[in-house]
Amino acid sequence: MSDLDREMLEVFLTDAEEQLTIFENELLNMEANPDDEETIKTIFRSMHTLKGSAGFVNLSEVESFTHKLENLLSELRDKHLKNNPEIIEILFQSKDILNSMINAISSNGEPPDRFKINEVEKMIKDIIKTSSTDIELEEDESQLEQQSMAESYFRVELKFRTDVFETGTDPILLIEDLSKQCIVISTAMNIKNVPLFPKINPFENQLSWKIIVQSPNGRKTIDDVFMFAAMDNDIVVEKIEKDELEVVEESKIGELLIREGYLEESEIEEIMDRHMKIGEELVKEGKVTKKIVDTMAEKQEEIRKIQRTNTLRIDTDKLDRIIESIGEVVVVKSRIRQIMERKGWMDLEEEATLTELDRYINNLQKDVMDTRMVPIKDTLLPFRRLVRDIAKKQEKDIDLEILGESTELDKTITEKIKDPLKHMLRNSIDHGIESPQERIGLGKKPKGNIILEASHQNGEVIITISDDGKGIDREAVTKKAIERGLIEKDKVLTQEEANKMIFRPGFSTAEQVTDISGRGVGMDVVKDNINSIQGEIEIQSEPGKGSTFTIHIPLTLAIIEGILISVGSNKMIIPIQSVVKFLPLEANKIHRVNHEQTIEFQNAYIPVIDLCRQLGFKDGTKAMLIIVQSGNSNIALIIDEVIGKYQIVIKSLEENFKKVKYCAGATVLGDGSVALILDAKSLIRSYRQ
Amino acid sequence: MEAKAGIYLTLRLGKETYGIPVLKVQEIIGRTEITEIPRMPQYIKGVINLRGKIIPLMDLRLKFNLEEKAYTDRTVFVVLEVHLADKKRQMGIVVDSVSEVVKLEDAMIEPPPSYGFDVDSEFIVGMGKQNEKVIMLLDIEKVLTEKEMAFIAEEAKE
Repeated sequence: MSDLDREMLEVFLTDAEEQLTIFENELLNMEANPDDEETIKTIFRSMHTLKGSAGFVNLSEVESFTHKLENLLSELRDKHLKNNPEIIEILFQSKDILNSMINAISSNGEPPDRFKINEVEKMIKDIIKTSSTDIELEEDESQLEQQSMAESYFRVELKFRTDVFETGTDPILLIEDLSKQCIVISTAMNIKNVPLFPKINPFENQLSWKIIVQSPNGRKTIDDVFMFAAMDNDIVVEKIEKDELEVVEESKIGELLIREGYLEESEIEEIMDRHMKIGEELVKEGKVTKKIVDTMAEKQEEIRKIQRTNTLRIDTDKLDRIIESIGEVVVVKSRIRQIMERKGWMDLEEEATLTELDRYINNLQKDVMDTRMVPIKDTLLPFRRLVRDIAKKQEKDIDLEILGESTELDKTITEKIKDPLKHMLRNSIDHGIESPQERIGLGKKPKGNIILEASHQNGEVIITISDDGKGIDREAVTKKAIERGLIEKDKVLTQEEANKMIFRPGFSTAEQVTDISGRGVGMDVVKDNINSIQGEIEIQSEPGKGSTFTIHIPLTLAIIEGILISVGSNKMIIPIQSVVKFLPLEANKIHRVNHEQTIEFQNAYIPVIDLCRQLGFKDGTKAMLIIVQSGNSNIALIIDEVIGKYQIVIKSLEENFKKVKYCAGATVLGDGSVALILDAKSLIRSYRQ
Repeated sequence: MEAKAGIYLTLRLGKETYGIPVLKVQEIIGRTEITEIPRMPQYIKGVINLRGKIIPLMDLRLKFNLEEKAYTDRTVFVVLEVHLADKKRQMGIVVDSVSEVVKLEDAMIEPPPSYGFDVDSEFIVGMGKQNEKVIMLLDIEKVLTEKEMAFIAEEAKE
């Protein structure tokens, strides 16, 4: 496969994924609102786009399948078919088939079952057949309609974007298509913007058209021709009366003169140039001040700019490399500062230049980080399908509400919260929401509610999942915990203890392992996953009323704040959210209990660990204690010195080496040396075992 | 594996000369600050910063059970690009000094004898002979993998 082919295939895959997401979402909307025309149209459009791009990269299987789907959808759109649950189910199955077709291409996934494809294609065919009979019945009516439309005339104004050729739209093909579908009465092409021959850029479109047509099927025929072009080009279709035809249009006289060939474009322009702009004229007349006109001109410019905003797809690897490079720049800059300081003194100019550099680098860093921020929407919306499918399987009736879908966070984090959220939702459906009968018996609405909400708070992203199900059953949890040997036999858990218990490893309250809540993947794994992206999870639950899980996650993982400490002859970073407190080490406060060192902290005895010894480093001064936390556990570490608070860029140790015990990665400090990042969680866990 | 004809970078450890295929050598850098890594065998000296990349550093002397020697100005870090565990990785080795780049023809390479080495003979894939000098050709990937891979497996189990 050539590079170009591969590139095109990649573009196709990204696009296909997008179209399938739209398809699925709209399908879910359709389920709630089967006759919504907009929904049907959107699905039709996305399938049409997919068909087109599949044809472009020669994926005939996808092309032919989407073509059949398109037929079905156009029957729906044109109301030859009445939507029903059966059709929606076929559409859902079709979506799954397309999904596996695409996956088979992109990641060598399992190709869809040929048998299944045939089955769905047959269902589509059968359904369309039923519609043809409907058409016959309606024929009289539509004939009437056609007659009334036969006399309809339209003015079609086509203003394509300058870069229209790059979007794959060819105005000429569209106009040809239009002339096939309609009778063209007159055409006027505007060449006003075309530059002189030597300056013509063949890649840019400077033409626009005004075409008067007589349409056999009214506006729809024309709209169909320009359906896709109309999305990002300026296309106006206006109905006109027959008697208007004579006065073709109210063109400016200059334009008419050019069109009829009496004058050259440049001659008109010359005259126009002599003409003052309206703003200048108004100032001269004393109607407004010059200042106001200038401000308005600026506004105008701004509006133009906004309209020109474009988007561009970028490989995240490329962004990561830019972020990495900026990290290097920051480090080198600190080194320059250190070198200058070592020299003894810096003059004002040097100092000012460095400060300026600082500022630019900070801005740059911020801007690049911004490019990684994506709305959480794409992560959350697919859950609608998940919830629908699971609820259906379990014969539960559940409404999933998604709020705050525009909340932005780092792309890498969105990828990492997907699985934990999925498990949590499954748990909520599986163990939270009761069956409709149960709910009626409890005096609740038969339909259960799950709310998935994302928001920004104090530089963090908060995601909550709340359900109005049965909540955490304290007694069942206690019973299970005793069975599993997690607590003493006669212990009675409080509600809060029971809530926390579900996060304990080896605890799963599922009466039986269903294929839905997963095989032994419990909340402890969810918690671990969230902790691994520096996040925290909490639960609130009220028996009989439901549970709310709250996840706090950082906006980004690429840069974190940490405390730099020295231990032995090494420097280490402790992420700031793990740090509780620093204390000078006072030997008399440390007690020995069963050969373990402990210290009293917040009315509890917590273990004291000699970090040097734990990590196998040479002994240092051991003058400080730092209290770190993970989850609800604290631990005191003996270290040498606390150096200060730093913003650091996290680097992987695994890229060239491997995972290192007790370390969450490494970073490069201002002097170019490497500091390891302490993973408080694994340290605390290993101590507990 | 058998040593092939090609261009080799020769390094010195004590009295011995070793050769590494020059294609695997990314660059040679001077001593830089090393950050220790917890709980590693002695010959893994730690990690260094190579233009923002964190790369591990192995002391070849210690790996080959030679006597430890304090680093001097002549000590160099050789950065290698190797293919380990299905990934291209950059790793550094510490040697006493690098000497030269030599071209070895097939005729100049002999199979390794199976006895009489300080170094585990399994790392030697051939003996290069040039002007009476003997160059021990290393399977550097094997040197860098071997026991380290056991660590990776161990951690994966946890």
